Amino acid sequence: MTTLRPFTCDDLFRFNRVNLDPLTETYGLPFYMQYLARWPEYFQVAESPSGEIMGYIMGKAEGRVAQEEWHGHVTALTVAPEYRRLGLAAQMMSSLEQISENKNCYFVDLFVRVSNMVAVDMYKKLGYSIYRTVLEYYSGDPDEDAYDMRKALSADVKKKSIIPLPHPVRPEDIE
Amino acid sequence: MAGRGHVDVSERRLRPIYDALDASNNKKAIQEADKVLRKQKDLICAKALKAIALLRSSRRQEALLLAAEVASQEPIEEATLQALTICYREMERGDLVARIYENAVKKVPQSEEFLSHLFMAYVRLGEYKKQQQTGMALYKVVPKNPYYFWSVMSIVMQALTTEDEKLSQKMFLPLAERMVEKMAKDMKIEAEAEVRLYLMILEKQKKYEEALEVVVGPLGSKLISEIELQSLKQAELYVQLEDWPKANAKYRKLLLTNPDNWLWYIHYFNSLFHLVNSGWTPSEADEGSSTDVITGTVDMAIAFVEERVEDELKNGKRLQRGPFLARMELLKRLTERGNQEAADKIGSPSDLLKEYFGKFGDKPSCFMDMRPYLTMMKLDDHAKFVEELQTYLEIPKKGGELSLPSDVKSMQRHICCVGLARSLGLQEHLTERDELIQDLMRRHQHGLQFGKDLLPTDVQPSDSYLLMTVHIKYAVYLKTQERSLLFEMIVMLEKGVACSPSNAQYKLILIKLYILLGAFQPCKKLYDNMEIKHIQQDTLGHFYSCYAVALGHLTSACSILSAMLKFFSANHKDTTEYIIAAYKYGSFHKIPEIISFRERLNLSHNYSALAVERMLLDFIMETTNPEQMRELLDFMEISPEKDEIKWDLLKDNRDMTVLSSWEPKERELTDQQIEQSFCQDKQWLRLRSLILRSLAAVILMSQPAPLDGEHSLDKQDASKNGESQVGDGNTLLSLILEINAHVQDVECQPSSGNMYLLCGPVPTRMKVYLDGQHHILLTSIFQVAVDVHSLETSDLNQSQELQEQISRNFDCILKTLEYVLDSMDTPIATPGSPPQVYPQVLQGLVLLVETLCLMALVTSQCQVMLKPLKATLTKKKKKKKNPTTIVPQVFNDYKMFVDSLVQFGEKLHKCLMEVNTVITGVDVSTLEIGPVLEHAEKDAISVETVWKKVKDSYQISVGEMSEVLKQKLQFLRTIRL
Repeated sequence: MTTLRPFTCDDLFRFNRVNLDPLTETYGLPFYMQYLARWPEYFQVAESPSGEIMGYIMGKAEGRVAQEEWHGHVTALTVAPEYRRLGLAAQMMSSLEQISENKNCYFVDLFVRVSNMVAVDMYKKLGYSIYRTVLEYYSGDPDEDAYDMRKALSADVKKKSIIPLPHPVRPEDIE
Repeated sequence: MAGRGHVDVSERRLRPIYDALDASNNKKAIQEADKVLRKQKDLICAKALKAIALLRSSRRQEALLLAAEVASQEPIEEATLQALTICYREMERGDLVARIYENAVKKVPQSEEFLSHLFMAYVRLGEYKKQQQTGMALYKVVPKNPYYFWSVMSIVMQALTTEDEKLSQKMFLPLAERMVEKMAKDMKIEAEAEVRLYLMILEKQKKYEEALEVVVGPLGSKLISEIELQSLKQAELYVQLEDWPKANAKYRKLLLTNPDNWLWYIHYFNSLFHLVNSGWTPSEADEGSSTDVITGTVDMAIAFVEERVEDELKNGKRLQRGPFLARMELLKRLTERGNQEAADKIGSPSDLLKEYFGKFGDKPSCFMDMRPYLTMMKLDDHAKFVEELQTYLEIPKKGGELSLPSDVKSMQRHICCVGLARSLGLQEHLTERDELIQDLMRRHQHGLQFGKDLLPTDVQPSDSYLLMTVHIKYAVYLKTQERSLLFEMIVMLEKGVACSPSNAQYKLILIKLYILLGAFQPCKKLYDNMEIKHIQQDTLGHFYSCYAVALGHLTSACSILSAMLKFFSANHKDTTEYIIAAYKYGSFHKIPEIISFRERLNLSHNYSALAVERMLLDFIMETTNPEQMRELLDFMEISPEKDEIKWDLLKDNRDMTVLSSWEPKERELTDQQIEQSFCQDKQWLRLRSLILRSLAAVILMSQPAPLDGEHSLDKQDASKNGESQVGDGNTLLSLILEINAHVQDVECQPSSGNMYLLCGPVPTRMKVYLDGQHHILLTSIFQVAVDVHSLETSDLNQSQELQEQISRNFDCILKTLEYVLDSMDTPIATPGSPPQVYPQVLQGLVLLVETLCLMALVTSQCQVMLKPLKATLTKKKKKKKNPTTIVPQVFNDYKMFVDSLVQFGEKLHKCLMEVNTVITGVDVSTLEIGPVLEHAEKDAISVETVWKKVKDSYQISVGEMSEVLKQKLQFLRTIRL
């Protein structure tokens, strides 16, 4: 039971249950503001019947159309521990894909820690495949690699965008 | 071509200055700028860059002058304008940025670039009227749609911000509407953003019909960025228009596309009951049409919801909760309306709840989903209900007792069951409470195996057992106030953290419990470990931040307070940039939202409270003589005569929903309790802010001459504006009266009987403060300052009355001090068997040290005022050579007072030292705490290790208190007249 609606500034005052999860980063205000000001439709929150925030998704559309690189990107996707295993992440992903379809994006992509098997498996179930590995994308001790996972949208008729790259790339090589 | 060459030369010459600035080598940047200016006097860009370098070398005044010189030449070169913009922005003088672009636009009125810079400069300042004009000017120069709509949005902002509702409705909004209408008529509307702005304008005027026309008309097809936006807008407008049949049909249709959307169900039910109330009946025509069906009778709605449930059961995918919860919601609403007949058609509450539990009991959210519907059941049915739930558990029973679950899903169902029982109040009068606790602890331990493959960043699924145990114990603590329970809970939770290091619930409760024991030190690690930062400091800081001061961890307090204040002070700049971005990207509907967000942070109670505490702390820690105090005061922006806090607008941004709770109704946190606690927080802040302003008034009274600097110049300006002179003592006098009146107000209010709920807010220090007579001590010393100041203007020999009043106040202070210290004769702990701990003693000591420090500071300011009097007297004496002149009593009294204050401080210092001795003697091994289940590998955590943390924390408190006290005593001893 979910109300999926656009994230508003005031939700920042109430997203603690979600953000106290150690893998959910709390960013400085500019980060959220940038998304709210530029891609407000891509920042959605899932609310419970009692008005609690269950999770949210942040994303954007970017890339050049001419090169068929115009795509939706998932910047963050998170669900509070007590609202997991309800299919919320899938709902939010599907909403982001729909929005990207409406914008004629070629594909949707996202980065995920290679160690986060639960998430990798979930994205695979949602139709995503590993496009490439990005070395030491997550800084930490030690740094961790990321998978760049992609799902082609209907604009990419021949599914060219998801043909896996044979070699891993460095973070500085990705656009 | 010659011009181009000139530019290149200048650019080449300026390069070293840019490089030095980029490398943060400001000294070099100044040198390079001077070098260039020697060669080419008229290269004003070099001056602008030099101004930046000066500013960054803390030479603000020079920078301001130099920038003004450049600005006065009304430059139009891009580089110079850019440099000036940077300089002024770093000075936080956005108004001056607007001025330079105004001048540039005057010179080159057709410049798109200058005009758009000017527009953004006005956005930064929130000058909506000027934004509107500049946007229009831009559109005239370059007829691009965004510029036109910038101007329209600027009109809307005027409508939203004016206090004159009439002006908003009769002038601004209609004007904005006409402007958009014109574009619509000319078929010039291009973007979705423009349509949304149009809708915003119409909706603000409640022109819902017109808005609906837009939505369903050709412009409506542009609404595509959000899913179903066009349909949703339509449905919302039907609700606004109270067109219930259409709203009903629309939300019904939406629910067919997504039967899990809660908001749509709510609107659907609302429309339904409006229709029912109006006696709506289906007509033949309605029945025929396919998609826009109205389901305006209870029976139709029941059928619709049952269909959603059926469909959900049929579709074979993972079950969504929506239809099942919606059915319970409909039942609840029918029951509340007294329509039992219809309610019965859906089923009995307990059957529905049981069915829900059967389907979703293994989800962690099940308890929270079911809780709102528990009230549908009769009180007598509760026990039976929970009993019956057990049949769904899939956990075998052994000898009538439930044995342990075999998988995580069964365990989750059991956890939900226990939670429901607690929430229904079934655990309240339990005779076997200890058995329950034992059982839950055993289950927690057992359940850890289900999470052994989880990452350390995951929460263990059996953690809820431990949390529920803590809640049960805490409820007992509320009744008995037995401190051994605090130790017990802490040991349990510390072990919990060792097994489930990512559980924030554990850590937040631990912080609360440690604070109850008066121990701040362990909280630091817990808090840092949760990586609470940025906006969370505003919403979660209440768990933590104020206790550093309250428990005497002053060094920590300084760094915590500054880190938090940094967040707030950056807010304005941070958010303003994105208001500009919202204009650029046409996210007009976000602009008012971001602006009110900025306001909400700016008006946060926390922000004001942190700032006041920080300033008090700075005086206490950083100043040891009157000159330093004056310097510090100039640096802070405190005006004693003006209350800067907007009391009526302060926002409570604390997040009170972060802790889970299974508590029954009587211990559930209510909005009223939160409001009450916010009120108390504001009362406390008012007292603290009055004290701070009084202290500032004392300083300004004894040292009225401002120090050099821009800030003091501003102050002079302010006092020219007809505000009362602080120097005359009246300001302080009225502040004293205000403190007294405020304290009286607070004391008159009935004590709130607010329970100290685990999930609820914590009371302020007000009670400890008033019990400790600190307000009396401070107002008395402030009064002394006022009277001493009056001595300056009166003849010393004629001011007997004044001097006696001073003497009386000295007496009062000393007697109060003795009384307070005597009444605090309980030691912080008694080492007996079992030992007792009295953490409230620490809070009292901390306040006493603070008050003594503040009194020492005020006393030193009195010396500044008395000294010239004494000097004059001595001179007179020498002149007249009249040995019979009596030395006025006040000098002697003052000296005696200072001596007594020092003696008292020494006594207080001894008390602090005694704390150290007492706590070392405590042996907690005899503390009777309930058996805590052994975690073989976590044996390292025990009541002894917890006590050690608490003890270490006390020692830090005492150490820091005695340090600051010693420093002030040292300073008092040097005071001579």
